[in-house]
Amino acid sequence: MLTVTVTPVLFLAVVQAGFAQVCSHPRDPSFYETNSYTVGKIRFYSPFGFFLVVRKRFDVLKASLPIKEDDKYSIEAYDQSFRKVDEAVKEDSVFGENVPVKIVVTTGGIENCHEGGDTPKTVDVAYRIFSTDPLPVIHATPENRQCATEKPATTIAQQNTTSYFKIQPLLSYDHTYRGVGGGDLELRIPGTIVNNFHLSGAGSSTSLSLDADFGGSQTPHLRALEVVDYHCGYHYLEGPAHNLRLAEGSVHARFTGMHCGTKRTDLHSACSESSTPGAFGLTLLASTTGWEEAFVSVW
Amino acid sequence: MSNNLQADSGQQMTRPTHVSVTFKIVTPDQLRKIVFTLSRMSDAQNDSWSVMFELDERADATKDFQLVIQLQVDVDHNDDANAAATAKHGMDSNQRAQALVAGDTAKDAKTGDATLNDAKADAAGVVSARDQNSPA
Repeated sequence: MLTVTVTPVLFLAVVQAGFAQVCSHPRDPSFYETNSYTVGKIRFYSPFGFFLVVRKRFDVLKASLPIKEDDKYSIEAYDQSFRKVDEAVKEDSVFGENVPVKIVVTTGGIENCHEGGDTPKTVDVAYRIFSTDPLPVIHATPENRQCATEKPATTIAQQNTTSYFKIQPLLSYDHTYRGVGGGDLELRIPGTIVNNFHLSGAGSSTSLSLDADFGGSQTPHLRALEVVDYHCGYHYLEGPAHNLRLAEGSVHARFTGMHCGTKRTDLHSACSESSTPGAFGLTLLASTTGWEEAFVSVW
Repeated sequence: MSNNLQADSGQQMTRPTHVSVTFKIVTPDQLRKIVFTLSRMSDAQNDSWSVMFELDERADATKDFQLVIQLQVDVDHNDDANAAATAKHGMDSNQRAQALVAGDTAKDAKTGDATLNDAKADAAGVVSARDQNSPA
């Protein structure tokens, strides 16, 4: 069975490379580092690549690799990236640990080398993946797993579509707040400064809650500041109390600057793992009542 | 072996610089899992093959596997052809039997009944155990 499976896999892997441009040193990746090439495209080929969910997971995997499109080609990042891809697809099966046999084939190579003329010198990186586990790369990140547990339907819809907005109505009843109605609106803004806007509100005859915020991130690629993330919001809450009216409102803002790092999967995915092993973050959190939090963290 | 494969169309097919083929085998009693990975890294001069051999066990088939030992061994250059054939065609019956033996030795190395070198030799032996009549 192993023979029957592996042979067509390797055959397919070779056939798919047929449309690549010629590379003069296909077995000498260090040549392209020595001659200051940049990374063109990073591609994943898989027999299951026609599944949208698989392609999405490849996108997530690509974002986590040390090698980045448009970055200077580095043999160290190239080697590290292959190991990372291989580890990702070797994870335990979606069928569980008890599958009697599992075969995973991963290849990594360079292709489509633009080596001559006036065009920029680029080289593409291609990974070809096969696993008898049909969806080896759909394992969710811890963040996604938590989200899928809390909001299963919404999470599945989000993972399989590219949406510019999300609206979630809210309707509930509570003895203290009585009937509560409201909703949640998330907008993805294709701008350069502000990338997202979030508005959430709920109200009843005895209460009102409102949260609004917007934020964005930039990658200035400065030596000491590779990624900046900023956020500004407003919070208002009015709740019921006997013979009292309790209300609070605040405006808050946060700015985070990072040099690099990969230890947290949310903010740091845009950093280059190969630049330095350490990282630092600077977060300032302010509100209308004054500076609440200002700290520098190193990790 | 040619560095590149030439397609009928005349376009170049690039040979990958990295290849990894992983076989995971769970024994019929569901208590032992062997992960055997053959990796090839190529540079301008030559190919180098290595083996990662991992043994996981559990006392109860309903529990998760626990790592017993993981070994990383370079394949002898004399076995390069066997390694390439294994990656291309899969493990033959000799190699599967040797993998189970290597699992026992790895377990013994963990408990002190065998040395680490014994375990590594048996893990590398999975490659060299390939039957000469198996597809190359």
